[in-house]
Amino acid sequence: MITAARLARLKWRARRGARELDSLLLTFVEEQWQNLDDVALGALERLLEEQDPVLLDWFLQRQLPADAAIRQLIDQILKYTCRRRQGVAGVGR
Amino acid sequence: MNVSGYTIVDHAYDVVVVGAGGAGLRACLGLAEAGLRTACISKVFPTRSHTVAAQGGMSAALGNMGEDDWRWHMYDTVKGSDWLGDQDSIAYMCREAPAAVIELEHYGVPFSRTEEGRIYQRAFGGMTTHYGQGQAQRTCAAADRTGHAILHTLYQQSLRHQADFFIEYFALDLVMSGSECQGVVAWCLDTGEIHVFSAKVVILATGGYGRAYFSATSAHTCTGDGNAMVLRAGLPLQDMEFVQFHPTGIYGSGCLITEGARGEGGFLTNRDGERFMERYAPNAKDLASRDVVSRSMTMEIRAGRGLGSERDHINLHLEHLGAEVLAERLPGISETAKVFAGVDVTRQPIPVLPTVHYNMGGIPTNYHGECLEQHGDGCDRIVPGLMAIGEAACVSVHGANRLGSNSLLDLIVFGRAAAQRACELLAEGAVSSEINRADIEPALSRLDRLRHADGGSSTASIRLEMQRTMQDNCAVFRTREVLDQGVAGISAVQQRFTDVCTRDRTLVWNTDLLETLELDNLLGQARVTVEAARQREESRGAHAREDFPERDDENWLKHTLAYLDGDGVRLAYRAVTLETGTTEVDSVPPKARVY
Repeated sequence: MITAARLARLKWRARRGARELDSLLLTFVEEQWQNLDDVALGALERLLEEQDPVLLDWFLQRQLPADAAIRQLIDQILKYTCRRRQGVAGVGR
Repeated sequence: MNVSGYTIVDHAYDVVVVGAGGAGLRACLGLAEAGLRTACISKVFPTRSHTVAAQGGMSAALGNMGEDDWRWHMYDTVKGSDWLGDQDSIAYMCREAPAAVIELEHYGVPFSRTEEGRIYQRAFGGMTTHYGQGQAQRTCAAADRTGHAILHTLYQQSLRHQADFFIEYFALDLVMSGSECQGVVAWCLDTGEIHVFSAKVVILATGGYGRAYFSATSAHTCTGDGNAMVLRAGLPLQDMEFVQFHPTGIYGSGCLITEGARGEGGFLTNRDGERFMERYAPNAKDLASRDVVSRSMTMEIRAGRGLGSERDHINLHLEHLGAEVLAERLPGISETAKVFAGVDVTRQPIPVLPTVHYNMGGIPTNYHGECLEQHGDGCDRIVPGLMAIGEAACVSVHGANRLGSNSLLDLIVFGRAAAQRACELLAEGAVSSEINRADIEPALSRLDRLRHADGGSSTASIRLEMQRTMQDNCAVFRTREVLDQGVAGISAVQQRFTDVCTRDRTLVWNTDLLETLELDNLLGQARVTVEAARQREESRGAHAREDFPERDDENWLKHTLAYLDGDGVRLAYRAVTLETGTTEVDSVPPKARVY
């Protein structure tokens, strides 16, 4: 069970310095947090601790994270972003 | 202490810096290094400031790759600014640039190097030698991570020199006593406490306000909070009508597709599949300059020939280039388009639209970073206790249009200058005054009002309406009629904001309230931006009026000052400084800006 404060903190830390990451992370956290289990939530918190250039490398698949749970989460975020775009053409923040 | 239900925590510092991007951190380091008691307040973790996105590099006439001279750099910057930049400030920035870069290197920024071990410098648009004759190689970079490397280095160094960081604190308002700034009020997101910082000098380094528009390359965090605090303090913002656009931001995400894509043969089409650039620029077509392409795209969209259900974007085609050419000449573009547009560039076009990239306008300052306002007699007056630097400030070095790789330079040179000036002010005996509780009351009552706002409109819906209005009526296609609609539209949004609803009433990690406060900040800036654009009846740099297509130096070689006055926007004007303030370089007299 996620507390309101922990969720709000996650949402705030999904805000990044790079626009590209905002467009992936903010929407995902906002719309998908209910579907994350404890393992995924932990992975999300670890992922958000990383530096922006590292995250960009991971999301653009120039590099892979060593942490398997983070690898899986990144895959999940990319798939969600893709599905969402097909569902609602032209929606963005 | 407890005031009207809020827990108040007091702090006293020599200097408080608001914002921890490149400019804020450079100032912080300079202050802490000089032994001043320094605090830095930031709503996000310092290395997640938007400076992290600056990949291009930082200009300085080091002359490592061939001959160079800071006077040539100055000439380029004045010309780039379409003569709206203040030449004393530009001279200062370009002259100090080499020292500022060398200092960064000593602090530990890993600049890319030549084989001989000197800092490598690359060519960049608008940067020339011999006053426009040759192409300069003037831009220093740390691979493609310059912004990140600078943030990381400056943050570590500031910590080493014992600057105090207040991270995930949201600055609410300046503490003003009369016309003097005495400190700043901030809200700690984690505890819900209100922190009152008294300071001899407050330095605003809060960045731009790209999020006032629907499509912006700026991160979500770029809401110009310091600019809005200045407006609420009754002080002016300068040259807010000058907003730089990039023609090819990916629709719905704002991520950039490099201009190299058109350079390699990419082209734009409208709803009818027409290559419309052939009509607007018969010779250069899709290779016309940024502003011409952006304006043509906007005119197509306005004529109802945009794509999508809202007919609000344009297609960029790269399919004809073939996978091999794409991989070889535009590396990374396939991945970017796939992830951020969901498009396979070998088979489909990329949906794009003109996207806000940089705000030339901001808080007026001199080249020491000291904030300026105007008396009735039209003379500048320094606002005691208040400084501004970086994209938040309008020094003005970028005038009507910023050159690539001059923004990182601006952050570092003026972050450094502000620290030096603050040290002088403290040595001259600047004192902090005891903050009167009555002077923080306006900040608290605004917070309290928005926290309990109980209307019928969500923050997100009002924000979207504001962003759409700015995108439709204050972007690259500007006429009196369009801007009249923009002023009326933003005024309607402002009216709707009185009916905002904040669902969450708590004070701990209340992101709903946070976004409402940011929207309030954006709205004030949107109001002054569209009004300043409506009044400026000429075309200069990024401000292009279809109904006034020429630059008009006789009437408009002046800065706009915009105040929020109750329900209205009041404008005044300030002379552009043409004198360089030094005998080392002559003024660059205004002439046509032709490339």
